[in-house]
Amino acid sequence: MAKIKVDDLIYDNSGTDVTLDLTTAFDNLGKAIKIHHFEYNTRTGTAASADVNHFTWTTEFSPVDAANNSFVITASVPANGKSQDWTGYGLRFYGNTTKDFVSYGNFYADQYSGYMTTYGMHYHLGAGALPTSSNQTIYFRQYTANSEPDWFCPNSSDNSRLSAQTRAFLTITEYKN
Amino acid sequence: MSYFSKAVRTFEGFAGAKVPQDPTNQAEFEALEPACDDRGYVWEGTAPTWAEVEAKMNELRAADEAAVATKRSAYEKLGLTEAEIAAIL
Repeated sequence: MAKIKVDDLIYDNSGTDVTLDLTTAFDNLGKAIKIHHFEYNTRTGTAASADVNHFTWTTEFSPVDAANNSFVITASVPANGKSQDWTGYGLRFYGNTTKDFVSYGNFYADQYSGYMTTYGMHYHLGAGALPTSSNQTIYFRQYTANSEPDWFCPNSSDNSRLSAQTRAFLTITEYKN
Repeated sequence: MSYFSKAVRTFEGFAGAKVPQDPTNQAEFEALEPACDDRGYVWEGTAPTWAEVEAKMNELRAADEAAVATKRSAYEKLGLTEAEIAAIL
């Protein structure tokens, strides 16, 4: 549970009413610095070989201060399965350095071809884990062979129940405690 | 079910593509864009023709249909009713 230090509370009893200014107190609590969000929504199929970038989330990821802030990363990518019992995938951040996060917080369900599944992830990165430059490219990447589905972001070509194009989202919450 | 993705992966050199809709002819097949902008090609080396891909799609579809027919034949030999077979298939 977050706690506010008594020293951070500004207590003002000069008027009729007693007031508390919580600005300083909340500034010293953990807070989100910026929520970065990206979308990919094109039906895409990729090769079965290892070390393949499936698609590009963005070429403009600019963390505010990757050296000192931490990050919560969440992504969900709809897919038409391919009977892959196991799959090794993750994100590649390409900036002033290249950082790979393979099999970090993955959630996935093995489905036959023709059945819907999800390539998802949810994890935390501490300060200094990401490249620090601006305009980084983030790839959704397969690290091991035979980890791909039939299609990412399937649509009505796959099944009529997908009356709208499916969309993948990546949300990166940059924060500091 | 789309057999296009299965078919193209049976050919050497498929590197991935954006395929909003499955192609239906040579022109649409050639117009496919690379899956990821870190590489500017869909095929490493020579791409197959649309006729070759379409033939492979038909071959894969026929194989799946044959597999279902084989299952049905086996169930019929076991004396299952149509309703029972339909429930299993």
